[in-house]
Amino acid sequence: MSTPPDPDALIAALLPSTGIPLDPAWRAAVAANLRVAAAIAANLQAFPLPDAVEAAPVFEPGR
Amino acid sequence: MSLDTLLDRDATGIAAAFRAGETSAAEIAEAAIARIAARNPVLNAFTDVTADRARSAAAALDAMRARGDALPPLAAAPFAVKNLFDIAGVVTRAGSRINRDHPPAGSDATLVVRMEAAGALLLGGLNMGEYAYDFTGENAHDGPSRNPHDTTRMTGGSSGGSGGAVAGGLATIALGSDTNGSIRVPSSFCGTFGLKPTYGRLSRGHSFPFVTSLDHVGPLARSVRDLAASYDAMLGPDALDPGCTARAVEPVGQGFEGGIAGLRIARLGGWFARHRMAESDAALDLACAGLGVTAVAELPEAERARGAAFLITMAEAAELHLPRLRGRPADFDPAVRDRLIAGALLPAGWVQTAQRFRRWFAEAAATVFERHDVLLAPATPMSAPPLGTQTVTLDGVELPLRPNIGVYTQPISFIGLPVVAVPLWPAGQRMPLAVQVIVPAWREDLALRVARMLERDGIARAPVAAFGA
Repeated sequence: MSTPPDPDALIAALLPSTGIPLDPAWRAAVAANLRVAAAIAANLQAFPLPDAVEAAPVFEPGR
Repeated sequence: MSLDTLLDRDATGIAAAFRAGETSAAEIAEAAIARIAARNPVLNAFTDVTADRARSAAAALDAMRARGDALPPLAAAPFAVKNLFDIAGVVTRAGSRINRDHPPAGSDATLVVRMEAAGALLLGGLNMGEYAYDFTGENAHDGPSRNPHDTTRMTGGSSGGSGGAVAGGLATIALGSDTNGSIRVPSSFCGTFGLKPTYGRLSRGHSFPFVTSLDHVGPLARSVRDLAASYDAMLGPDALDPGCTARAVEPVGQGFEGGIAGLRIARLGGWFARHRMAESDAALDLACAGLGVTAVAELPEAERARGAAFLITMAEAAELHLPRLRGRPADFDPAVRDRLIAGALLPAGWVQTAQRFRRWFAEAAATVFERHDVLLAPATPMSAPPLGTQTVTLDGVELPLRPNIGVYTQPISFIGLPVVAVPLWPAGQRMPLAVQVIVPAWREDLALRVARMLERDGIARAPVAAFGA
């Protein structure tokens, strides 16, 4: 498993591309949420999903 | 019986009283409006009251009865809807400050139309957590909805006003939405029955979305027969909701009286046996004792399922709200905004893994249902906490309260399984706590049968709270 990314590094790298104006006062809370998400994602991606498992969003052609 | 007392009956009971000529629809409407005026300043369940609309609908029902017309099943029963459902002429605030700058809705939500067609009287829109991203029922803009059984406590979210209105006797039935638990959590905290149908079973047409991969809508009520009657009234395809099934409708009718003979019922272990508190243990034990359940089933990888729902929620909700995050970030509830901004930064692969895991987990659940027909689990680890509570101790570890309210509901809605939340009142506990009756997709009838058995035997009940007690 790779090391979960540093939330502050994610904010620095990705926030400018979103166009969201981040008040410095909000940064710690955003980082805390990202840290939780990163830990969840690391655990999820450690699960050996078979290649044949497709995503499950809803889309029906013709509707 | 006084008119005010009549309002403590369930919707089916009020419709029967109206049909029998015990009272007029106009009198019921006025009594309901008066009760909202008296109780809502404390409960804060309603954000918008549609009194004139209720009066007009009541007058039409009285005219129908006077003519001897056939009366619809929920005739004159007061109902209300979470304020993310469109009500023509009312601004759909979706719990937010930002959306109340929108013009009033031009039409009604599909389910509002169908409930009115069944004769129910719309009383208004109900308080909710901002944009449905909430498990507490607190709202930074409108104030918290308050639990009718103890007004110092949370209603649970995000359909908090829906739980409060039903338990407070302000509506017989309230519509809510449930993306990660938002019908089942307020049912648990407020002691109401709640039905989260199969994903796609009831239309979301003309309601404000949250996470369309996971959004469900359904009723909260004070009896199983009201869940069944409102569910049947709302069934049917709808071109306004791309996720709404084209599958033929399968009304429950009186099938909820079918009993539980032959049903293979098990309680869920593993993830669903962790994070327990005394009250969730007691509630589940009560349900299992009442149903004679001893088998234990395991839904594998439920923790990962919960995590996957968490990631999909963050990412989809963030994308939905991106224009508002760019333009008016200071106008959000801070707790919602900070999660949404984080959601806007998630690497795409995390979300795609979560969506693929959804398929895997749905297939794992289908395997479990080869051996069991019904699965039981608590709806919440805890009963309603005091308003403002920030942390909870689960398994000896102090954790943030908000995300952990939904630990048992999230894995189930993740794969769209139908659930009836059944309110239980364990001995020695002041507050209720609901058990989830979880069944295979499209088998709402089975969950209602189990819920009805617990209700019939007096184990489950959803009383109107004594006001001012």
